[in-house]
Formats: sequence, structure tokens, C-alpha cells
Amino acid sequence: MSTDPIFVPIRQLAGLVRDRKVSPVDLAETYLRRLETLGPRWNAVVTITRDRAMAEAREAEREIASGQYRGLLHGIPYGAKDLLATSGGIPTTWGAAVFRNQQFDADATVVRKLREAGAVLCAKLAMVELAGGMGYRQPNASFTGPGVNPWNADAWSGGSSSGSGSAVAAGLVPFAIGSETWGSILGPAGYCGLAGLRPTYGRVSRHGAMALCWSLDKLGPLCLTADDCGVVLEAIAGSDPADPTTTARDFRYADGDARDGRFRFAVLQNATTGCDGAVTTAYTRSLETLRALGTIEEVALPDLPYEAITRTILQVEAASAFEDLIESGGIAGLTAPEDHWSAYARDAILAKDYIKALRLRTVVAREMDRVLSRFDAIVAPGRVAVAPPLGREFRSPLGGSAPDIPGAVGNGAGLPAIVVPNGVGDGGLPTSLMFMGRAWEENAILAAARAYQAITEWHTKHPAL
Amino acid sequence: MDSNHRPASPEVDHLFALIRSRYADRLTDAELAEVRKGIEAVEQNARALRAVRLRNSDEPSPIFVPFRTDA
Repeated sequence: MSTDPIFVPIRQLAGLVRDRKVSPVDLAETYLRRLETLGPRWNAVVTITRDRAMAEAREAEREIASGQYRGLLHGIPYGAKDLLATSGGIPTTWGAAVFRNQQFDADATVVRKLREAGAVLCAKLAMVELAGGMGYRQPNASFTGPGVNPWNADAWSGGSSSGSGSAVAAGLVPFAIGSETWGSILGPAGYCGLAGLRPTYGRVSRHGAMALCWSLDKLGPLCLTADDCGVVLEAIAGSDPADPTTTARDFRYADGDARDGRFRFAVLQNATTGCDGAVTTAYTRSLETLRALGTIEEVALPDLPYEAITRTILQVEAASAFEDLIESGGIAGLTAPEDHWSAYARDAILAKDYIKALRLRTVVAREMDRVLSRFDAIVAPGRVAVAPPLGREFRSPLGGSAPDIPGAVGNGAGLPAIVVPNGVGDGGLPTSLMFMGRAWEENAILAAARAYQAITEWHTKHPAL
Repeated sequence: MDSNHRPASPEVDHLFALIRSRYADRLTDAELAEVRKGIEAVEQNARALRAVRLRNSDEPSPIFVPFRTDA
């Protein structure tokens, strides 16, 4: 292949494919070889779907040659977090040894939609076992090993979409699908220097995805740029009779550069509390950059126990979703020692407290809409620190780690958010910036992130492999 | 001692007794001690939730919707 396709954003790659300067078959072969040779270095891959990829790539090549171009994802390889069901005998392991031979008869809706868009599934990507729902506290929590960060092999790639983060950052696939219940897209994207989009809850069908928490789970893309995230979101968004929580609201990616007026950004009081020095420095610098794009106003959120609300909902729903595995003692077969027993404590959550959390969630959603109705986005550090070392606990048994109010609020209220890289910290690891928007306003945060990336270069840097 | 650690409450004792009665046969003493820390975290979360006063009209989310196949 004369044109090197690695680390080329989707829109440019699509232009090469559409103009037949790059063959979808050659493109798939290039990425399959990288997945086969480099994937193990980052513990990024569970299953390489070579046969399916080559069949889909050949189909794309035939269609494009005959003038049937489906759009920007036609002939573009990708990887899917291994909690998305795939047909054809491809295992769907949920990252857990106890499910390593699990197979499904049908594709998840997201996988089906990407196939209809002409994308080429090249790999099922590694993840933290059961999407981290059993209470893991350190990176070694998957039967495929801890996710290794392409920027620094001593650091974690994040969780629970570990392989989705490392595979895109290492140029093993142009984009990947991840899932987020609380932090599982934004975390790996932030740690790996990527753009990661958490859509509004209900924007993307969860049908065929492992259920961790029915009212918190979202599926979204991890890509090289914010623009790529918009392209992928348009392909996977939409109502689905198989997932009654999906919205009938249409989503069309507004990718034009033209914008009426300046952005209106909000920042939270004490936004850098608990952040490490590099994150604070990068965030401060980013705000200076954003002042060229719009106004910035500090806001205070109502005094509510945001983390207790979202954590209670998450723990109860996860304990119910995996009731059989927990009650049977099957969790003893998981990789992380703390996943063998953490879930038992959730039997101590009283029903009245769970309902209180659900009632408070309604208050949070209402209050956040009141705040966000005046802004395009709340801006905050994407993560409080760079990726932690592989061998270190990042959470204490009492749930104590650095506070994550934006994560608790955003996931609890089902709000969209995107992270993009905004600097480099200790160990050469990326820092990140988050834009969180009003429900259903993905286009607003995508426009803000795109505008930020148009005047910065952090997204153009890639790890030396 | 963890900075978040508080003296055990009677509620934690009772809840731990419940969990121990259900699962002690499959857990070591060290694992049971970790489970107890988890229950302390649960109790801290619950205390934070209970501290907030809500109005009678504040309903939980999601709201139940009656089902019909033709709806």
C-alpha cells in the first residue's frame, strides 16, 4: 500500500477509500497484521476476526468499485469492545475467564449498524472483566491481562474499555467502540490521548451489549479526533425496538465548521481539586485557549451527594445483573482477587436507599439541565491524573479515590461528554480535557471539541511504537 | 487507618452479620474483612443519601410505564 493509513483520521481515510487510492482489502490486511503482531504487546485484543474482516472488506471493495459508496465508514476497519455480541462463532467474552467460550447467534445492534455503514470488524477488543462491575481496584482485572498504555508500557490503558483505548492509540484500528457505565469510555480515551465520546443515555442502542447497569450503560466511540467521533456516532445512533430506552430523536452529525457566535463554556468551582500538577497545568492552559473561542463562566452545582447517588445505582443494578454469577460463587473465577468478594457487600444496600438514589437522580437531572441550558458545555479536566502504573491500586476498599463529580453527575444524569487530549504529564502520558453537554446536545460538545482541536495539536501526536 | 474510616456503626454490624450468614462459607477471614470494608462504604453512601430531604413529589427515575404490545 503506497499510502500509510496508520493514524489517519476517518474522514481523510474515507477520502482515500472513496477515491480508490486505498483498497479496503489492503486496509483490512494492514490493520489485521498490526493487530496480530502488536496487539499482544498492549493486551489489547481478545479475538481477531480475520475471516469476517476480509469478507466485509471484499464486499466493501466490490461495492465501491461499482459506485455503491455507503459513506464515510465504508471500508474502514474498526474494533469492538468484547461485550458486544457477534454472530458467526466469534466469542464474546465480556473480559471474563468464566465467559471465554460464550457465543451469540446475532450481532449487537451497534455491530449491525456499523456493518450496514460498510465498516469492517477486525477485532473484539480487551476489556476489564464484566466492565469493572464487580468492584476491581487495580488494572490486572481481565483474563487477557491488564491493558497496557501505548504511551508508556508501565502504565494502564484505563478501564473498562482498555483494549478500545490502547488499540486506537497504537494504531491497531482507526476507531473502536467502547461502553461507559461510569468512566469506561472517557477514562481509556483520556489515558491514551484519544477522543472518546459518551453519548446521551438512550442515544445508542444497548441491544446485544452486556448489561452491567440498565439505567447507566452507554455505547460510544473512541477515535483519533472529535470529528471522527461525530462520524461514528451518526452511524450507531438511533431508535431500536430491541432497546426500549433508545430515543426517537434523530441524530445527524453537524460537521460544518460554520458556527453562529462564540461558545459559552462553564467551569465548575474547584474543578482541579485532587488533580495532579500536570493535569492542572494543562487544564489552565486549555482554558486560555478556549477563551479565544468563547466565554467562560464559573458555576456552582447544588450541594448533592452525586457520587453516592450514581455509585448506589451502579452497585445495585450490577449486583442484580450478575445475581446468578454472584450467588453461585462463580465470581471466584474472575481474575482480580477483589472481584471474588466485593459484590457480596452489595446485599447490604437497602431498597429504600436505592429508591432514594433514583429519586435524587431525578433532582440531579433537573438541576443539571437548568445549569446546562445556559451553556454549550461544562469544561473540566478529563481525568484527575495521568494513567496510573500497572501495579498500583487506584481505588480504596471504601470507594475512596480522587473525587469524580463530573463523572458521577454526567453518568447519573445520562449526559453526553467528550474528552480530547490537552497535554503531556509524568511518564510521557497524556492529559485530557472534557466537554460535557446538555442531554441530546452531542453536536454542541462535538463542535466545541472540534474547535479546540482546530487550534491545538495534541491530537496529532502519537506514541512511538 | 484510611482517612475515610469511621468507627463501626451498629448498622454495619447488623448488615455484616447478614452478609456473613449468607457467604462466610466461601470466604476467608481476610476476604470477610474486606467485605466488611465494603459494607462500611455502603453505609457511608446511604448516610449521604439519607441526609438529603426530598419533596413528596420527587419521583424516582426511571418511571414505570405500563406495557401493551400494540402501544
